[in-house]
Amino acid sequence: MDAVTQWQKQWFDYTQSLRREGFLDDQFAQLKKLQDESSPDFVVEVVSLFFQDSEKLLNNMGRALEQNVVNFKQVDAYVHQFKGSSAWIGALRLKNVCINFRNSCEAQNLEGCLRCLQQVKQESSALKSKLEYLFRLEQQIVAAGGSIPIME
Amino acid sequence: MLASKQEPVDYRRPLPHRETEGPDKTSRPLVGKKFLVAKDQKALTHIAMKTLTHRGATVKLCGNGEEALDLVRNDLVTHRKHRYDYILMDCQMLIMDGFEAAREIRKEEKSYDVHIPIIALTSHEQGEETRRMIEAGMDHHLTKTLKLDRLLETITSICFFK
Repeated sequence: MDAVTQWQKQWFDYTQSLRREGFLDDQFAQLKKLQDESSPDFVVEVVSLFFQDSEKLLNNMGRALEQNVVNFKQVDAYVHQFKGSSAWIGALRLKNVCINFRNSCEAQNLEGCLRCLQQVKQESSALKSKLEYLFRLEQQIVAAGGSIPIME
Repeated sequence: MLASKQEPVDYRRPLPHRETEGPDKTSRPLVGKKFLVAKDQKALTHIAMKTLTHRGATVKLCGNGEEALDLVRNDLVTHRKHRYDYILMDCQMLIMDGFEAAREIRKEEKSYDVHIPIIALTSHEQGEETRRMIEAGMDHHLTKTLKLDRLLETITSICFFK
């Protein structure tokens, strides 16, 4: 097996494991389908923008939860946005953590919200590392003259 | 088994401009349609831009409901008609949400006897915010939970079967 084929197999196995572990769902594969010759870096761009948006939202959530009188409706609005964009890039586990977070907001449970915020940060960080690895693999494949397999 | 692309992409050659590739009605049914897209999250804006242009549409982006309102108001005052064919309006924007923007756009339209179709984009399933959308004067509803291909199909059918 040559190097490119080996990396392609690695890519395939890795994407399968990301799907199995719930890090990514079908929506990510749909995003990949939009990537073409006119926008070869589309998915990398979307993911990069997603983490920029996330950082802002997570900071907003943190600040809102530090207030003397917490505005749970405002926190919920931020979480709602975060959940929406997580769903759009196929970040299933992140989306699910947001569902719990919204429940804590609704119950005006500060401790629950702070726990959820921590979880969201951890999941975000884990997803970022995994996607960075995936994109590095793709760069390796392309640099070696290979093509990235289609995500089914 | 791995499914590889038939032709590897050569990122070194100049990228073809899609407009010069010739009309392809099957894959680009939105050619000639002009969308104003109001969304405040960069990633989702990028996705919306790509999904619409992928199907041939021309897209103008704006970052919130207030900007959408300003653009529309400016066109009505200057040209007495809408520049865009559709507005894709995110309902959950933090600076002037989609509902308020839609309400204000409908107020502006009264003096000009025009009506631009507004497609609401929400995170909620049908029924939960339908009343708010109808009251705001929105015409169609898309949920963010729709998979991208279904979203595109739905937008295309709105454009051709309104």
